[in-house]
Amino acid sequence: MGDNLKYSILQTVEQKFRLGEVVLVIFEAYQIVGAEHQNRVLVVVKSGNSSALFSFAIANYPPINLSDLHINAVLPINETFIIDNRPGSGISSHQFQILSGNETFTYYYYPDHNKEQFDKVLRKLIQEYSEENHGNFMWLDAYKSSDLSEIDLDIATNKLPPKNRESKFREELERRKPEYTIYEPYKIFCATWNVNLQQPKEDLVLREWLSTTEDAPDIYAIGLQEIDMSAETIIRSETRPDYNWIAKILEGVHPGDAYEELISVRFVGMMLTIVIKQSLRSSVSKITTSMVGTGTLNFGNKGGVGVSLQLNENFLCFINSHLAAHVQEFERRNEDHDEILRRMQFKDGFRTRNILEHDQIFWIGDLNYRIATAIDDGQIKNFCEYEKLFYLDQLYIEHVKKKRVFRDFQEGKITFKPTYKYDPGTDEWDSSEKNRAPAWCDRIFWKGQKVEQLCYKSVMQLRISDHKPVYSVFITYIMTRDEKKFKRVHEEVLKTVDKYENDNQPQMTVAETDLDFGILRYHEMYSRELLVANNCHLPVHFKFLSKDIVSSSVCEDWIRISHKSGELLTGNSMSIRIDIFIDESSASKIMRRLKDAQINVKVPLDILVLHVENGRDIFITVFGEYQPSIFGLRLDTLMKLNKSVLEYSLKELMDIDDDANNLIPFYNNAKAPREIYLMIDYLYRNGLNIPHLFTIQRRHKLSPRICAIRDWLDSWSVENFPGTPQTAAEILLKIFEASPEPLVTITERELQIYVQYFDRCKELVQNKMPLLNRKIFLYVIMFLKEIQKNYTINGMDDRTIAKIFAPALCRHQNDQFSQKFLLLFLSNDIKDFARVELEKN
Amino acid sequence: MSKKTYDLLFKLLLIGDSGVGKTCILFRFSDDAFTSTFISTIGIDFKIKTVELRGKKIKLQIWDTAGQERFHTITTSYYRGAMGIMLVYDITNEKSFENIIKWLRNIDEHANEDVERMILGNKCDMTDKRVVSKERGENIAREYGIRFMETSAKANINIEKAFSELAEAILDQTAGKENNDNQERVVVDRKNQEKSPAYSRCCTS
Repeated sequence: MGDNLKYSILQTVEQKFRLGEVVLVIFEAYQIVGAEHQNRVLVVVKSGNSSALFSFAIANYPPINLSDLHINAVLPINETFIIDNRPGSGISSHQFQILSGNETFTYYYYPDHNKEQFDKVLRKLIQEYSEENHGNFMWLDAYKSSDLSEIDLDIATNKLPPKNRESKFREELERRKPEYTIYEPYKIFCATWNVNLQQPKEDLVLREWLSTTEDAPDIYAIGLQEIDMSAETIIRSETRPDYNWIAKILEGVHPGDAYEELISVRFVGMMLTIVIKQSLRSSVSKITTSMVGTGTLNFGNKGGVGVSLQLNENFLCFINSHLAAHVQEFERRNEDHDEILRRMQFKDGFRTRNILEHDQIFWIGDLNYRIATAIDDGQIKNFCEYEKLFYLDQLYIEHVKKKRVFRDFQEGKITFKPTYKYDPGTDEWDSSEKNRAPAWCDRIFWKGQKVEQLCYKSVMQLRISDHKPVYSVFITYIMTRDEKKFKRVHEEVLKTVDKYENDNQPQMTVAETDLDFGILRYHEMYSRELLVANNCHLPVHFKFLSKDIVSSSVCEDWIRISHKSGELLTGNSMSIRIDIFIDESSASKIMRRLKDAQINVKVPLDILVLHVENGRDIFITVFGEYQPSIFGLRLDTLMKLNKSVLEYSLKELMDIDDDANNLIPFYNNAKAPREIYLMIDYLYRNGLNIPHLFTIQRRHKLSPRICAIRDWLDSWSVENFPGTPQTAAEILLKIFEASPEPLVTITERELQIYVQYFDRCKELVQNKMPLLNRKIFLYVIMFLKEIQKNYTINGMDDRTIAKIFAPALCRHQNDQFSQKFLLLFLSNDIKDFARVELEKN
Repeated sequence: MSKKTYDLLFKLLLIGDSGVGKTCILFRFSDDAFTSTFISTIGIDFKIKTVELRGKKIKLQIWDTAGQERFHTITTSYYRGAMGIMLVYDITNEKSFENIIKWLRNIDEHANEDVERMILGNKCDMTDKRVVSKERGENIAREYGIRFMETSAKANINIEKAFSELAEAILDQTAGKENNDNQERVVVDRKNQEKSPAYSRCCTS
């Protein structure tokens, strides 16, 4: 690498860094990516007491602009940084590896590049770090986030649209959730009781059940079963909460705080009531209920009711269920469980949540599992060591052993006597005819993180039912947003999102913004390539924009752009061809545009606006000079020239052009400009008998001879005419077309009115056309009449001639009347009229 | 707190002679960085930055224009749609200050009538090279009834302040309008404005 080149790369690289960050050494290498060799510039940078190796990808070689270099790796030189120069099993002995963090980067270097200095600097820095053993690498964050982490391959290859601001924002806020999330303890009291169809009597006091904790719980979830199982209730599928029970519950809760019923959900015999501290009401939202009947015909004598709610940032779910009864029916109970799990849905607006989609779930109820024992029921009753019986509990078997139900749910250790079945009003086992065996029918399960069970008990003293109530107290840690921290993170996330949006602006680079076309001449094609590249990590859509409101064209009409819009994927480039062709319609315009151009000062011919969708606009300035030609000058200017057009400056020509009123000098008593005369004279002598001398299609419009004739005319050459009759004919038309004003200065409107009358048309020619134009017009008509005379040989009839000449001479929007106008002059005798007019001075 | 990333979108435009530091001002504001390398802006660039004013999150979309003379005609077409314009001159460059009059005229001709304007005398850290006194800046601002501030992108002086004052002025105007017109004329339509840059006809493409 030459020193100059190295120096210029160094300069570009240095621009990438900030004040206080010193580039120590740069080294060119390459990486092999797929089948490609990709150039890298490895740069070692030091800032304060730390240093890092940057690997840059190069979009354009040699890199000149900042955008030519893209960071593809930033490796802090710390304890994990290793440079491995051993020629391993690699494909080249010029291979070396850099290990940093958990990553390994393999590079290759060019044999003629001396790597010693690079190695030396790195060794020294590694040494320095190991001595100090710390360094502040914060300064690297600025480089890491924008160039590395934000690149998404799917976006770069157009597979995915770039993330929009809002989704990036949500993603970022979610990602940083731990920073503003705290866990607050909440005490949850779950209780279940099969009340065996008893209505709460006045003297019933539930405090013994519900107010058994020292502190007041935050939330109560109280599930009752068999509050009413009358046929009527079942048939009606009663869903109205039972307010007698609710009132009783509210009386029974802990007296240490003010509570309110949050919600109750009832389905036939089952009811679940959620009671919370009034002070918590504002922390709870999205309260929804659900019920599932599983009994006969789903009538709801069995099934479950549930409540879903959001407490701060967590979703909680409470389910009270009553599953199928009888010892042998444990499979039905399993199925009931499955059905509730499957069918219970909580609908909140458009969002539906099932049971398992909650952070914490408490499932309570009369689950009705029995003790599966071979010994007879009487023996169970007399058995005192209940904990031994527990291993025979059907639910223990289904849950813990077989993992058939309540999978991933937990249950606390049961330390209470079976809660079923007692003789109501006593603590005695069932002595009825049915003689039911005791069982732990009434249970409490939970699932979720950060839940601790404090106790799990039954209450013997409540004796109105054949079941004993059960309760359990939990401490749960509820995810809560710390508003202060959240505000700070929110602000930072906004900054990140701003940065993301700025960094993810589609960018396009243009090789040059000044396109100099040099000297332009009439009727020649000039082309320049505009190389555009997408060096950003997003697909780029571009288009040229129009500059002013009036016109919709993106450039002057003598400029053509090969691709007015397009798309570039990451890493792609394309060449946009810009052509300039000055023809008869633009010759006079470009001369006017450039008339004030001073020598050696480039004047923009046009400025193109290259717009990158959702990104910046780039201005491309088109420069050029114009070599004046007779094409595009006024006809009277042509009359005034007393030397070849090449001997005039553009400014001089324009001054003459602007001074149209100035009389044609006396020395020029010609009837028409030299150029028109020469063409007509030549055609008169050589062209009258040529078939298709003029064609409607203008077959010779782009003939290569046009330029030769241009030069011949412009230089006042004394050589032989370099063209053919056909090209001379084309030139004649071009001279009229290129002139800034039409030869025939009669308006379309005037012709529309008078074109029926030859005399009126003659008057128009006399009155509306300047003398010079009149003379040229009649001169041309006389010549055209000669062509028309040879109609049988050359095939040019008066209609064809009118059709070809009307647009060139009159330049009306619609040629209908101008053609008729010309026809009048071609088909009538105009000798006398012409003679008089041509004599005039 | 709302999960929307912004409540209002304001479009601001930076104009002024070439080399006065428009890009540096924007770069300092958006990236809090400064580079002394001069790279002429050949076109129109923009950056966004969200600021919070009076409890409202305001997304500023700031357009940086090419200052070179030959682009003046083109850049004026970007004035329309701008709600605030910062006219920047360089306190070490007399000509750039004299041209403020010209830029003001450009604004009159091409920008929205109610556009908020602010004059910035940049590079105020370069005291030894100063040729335009602060008084002259203040005088011209007073004469035209425009806000004025001396700034330095390099030393990070008044950059944040300039943008937030301009944004605040627009916010005042916006609030005024909302009240007067019974909210019918909402100044910023989030959806539409988001898509189309200040450039008048680049539409939604």
